[in-house]
Amino acid sequence: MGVITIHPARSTPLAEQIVAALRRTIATGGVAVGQELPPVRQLAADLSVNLNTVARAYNVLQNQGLLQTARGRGTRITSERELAPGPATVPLDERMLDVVADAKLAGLDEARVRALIEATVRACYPGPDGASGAGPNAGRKESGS
Amino acid sequence: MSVGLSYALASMGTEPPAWRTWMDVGGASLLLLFPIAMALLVPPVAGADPRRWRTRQAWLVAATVVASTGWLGWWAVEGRPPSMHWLWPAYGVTLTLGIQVANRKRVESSTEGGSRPEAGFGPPVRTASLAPRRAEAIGPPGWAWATLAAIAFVATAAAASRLLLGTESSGEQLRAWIGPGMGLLALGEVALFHVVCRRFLPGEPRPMDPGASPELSEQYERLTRSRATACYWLAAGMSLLLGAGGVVVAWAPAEGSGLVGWIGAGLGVAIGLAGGLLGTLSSVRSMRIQDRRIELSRTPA
Repeated sequence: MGVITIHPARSTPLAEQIVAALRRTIATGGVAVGQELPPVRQLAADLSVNLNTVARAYNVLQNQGLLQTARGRGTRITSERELAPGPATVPLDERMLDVVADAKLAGLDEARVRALIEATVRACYPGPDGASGAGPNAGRKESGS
Repeated sequence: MSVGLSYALASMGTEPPAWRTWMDVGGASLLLLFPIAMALLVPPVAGADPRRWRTRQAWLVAATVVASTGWLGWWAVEGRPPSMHWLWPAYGVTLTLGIQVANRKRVESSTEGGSRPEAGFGPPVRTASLAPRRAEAIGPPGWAWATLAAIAFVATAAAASRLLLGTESSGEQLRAWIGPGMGLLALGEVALFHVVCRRFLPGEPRPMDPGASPELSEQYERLTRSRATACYWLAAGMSLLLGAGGVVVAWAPAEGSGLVGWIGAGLGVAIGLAGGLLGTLSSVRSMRIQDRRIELSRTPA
């Protein structure tokens, strides 16, 4: 079962951190489709955040098509693929460029950046033997790119 | 309990003034300080801001000091303790404050599964498992305990009010009212402690903060364990004390006791013993469950 981590000292709002952490966990297989997530109250208590913060995060993920909340049956992962994002979403290639640009400006050399990207891809697309390759989502074209 | 006992003894014609005075003082102090003890003994809070926590504790202590000072001031000025009509509301206020403080501490940061150690431990990251927890039921459900507590307090308050109103108090009537009242109060105290304390038990095994050293994690668990243990033993002690009170009052001999008096005495003995035993057994059982949880939480996943 997955574990999520947030960093209260960072400037990113806590709800956004929870959304990002849950998306990472879904993408890396930390939680499977159909699996139940903890109730808002439990996650809020464990992370020491307000109930509304977690509720907002769940709501965002629900709008993205990744979660579904049914009254009395809890919140479950419904899909590993999000709904098509709106036009306001920054396209994926621009986000990738931002990440690589941040790495370069932080002083990382090309080999280090490639290694980081490789490791990230392997985490999200684990092959049968753990190597990078065609995973369950290998053919997926991410929306917004 | 001691207030009730003192009034009972006084009405039976065996009033020793000094004894009654000390019983009054002791009873009032116990009733007023009980909520503070409960609030302070709950285990430490993971991640709570220690300054805010201490501020709330300070407010609780101040409220109890004011209530106690008012009670003693009345006694000093009037030359007699104030009526229990004043004591019960004061008890209710401090008890409510105590529970409020305990609940706020819980909402701020639960110790039931959060992985962030107490403030000052480890780096400022917070982790949480995505496994939903199912509450482990210990004993009867919460509503049963709450109902029992309500009955206990109402019964005891009714007994006390009946005494204070002076409606033909006799030894027989006293036993009929106070014995079961004290026994029910013992059960009520058990219920109260059970509902409050079990919320603060360490939760199911959880991943510890990756930045916390094993020594700090162990220190945190030890502190949690010691306070929870103290809380449960206090529960057991209180219920035993109250149960014994019910037995003593109910068993007090009186000349010419009728059927009602003996029924009351029997009920008082039975319920008082049940309250005391139940309190002790539930405390011991809860501590065993707590020990098992702590042991599991130390086992690496």
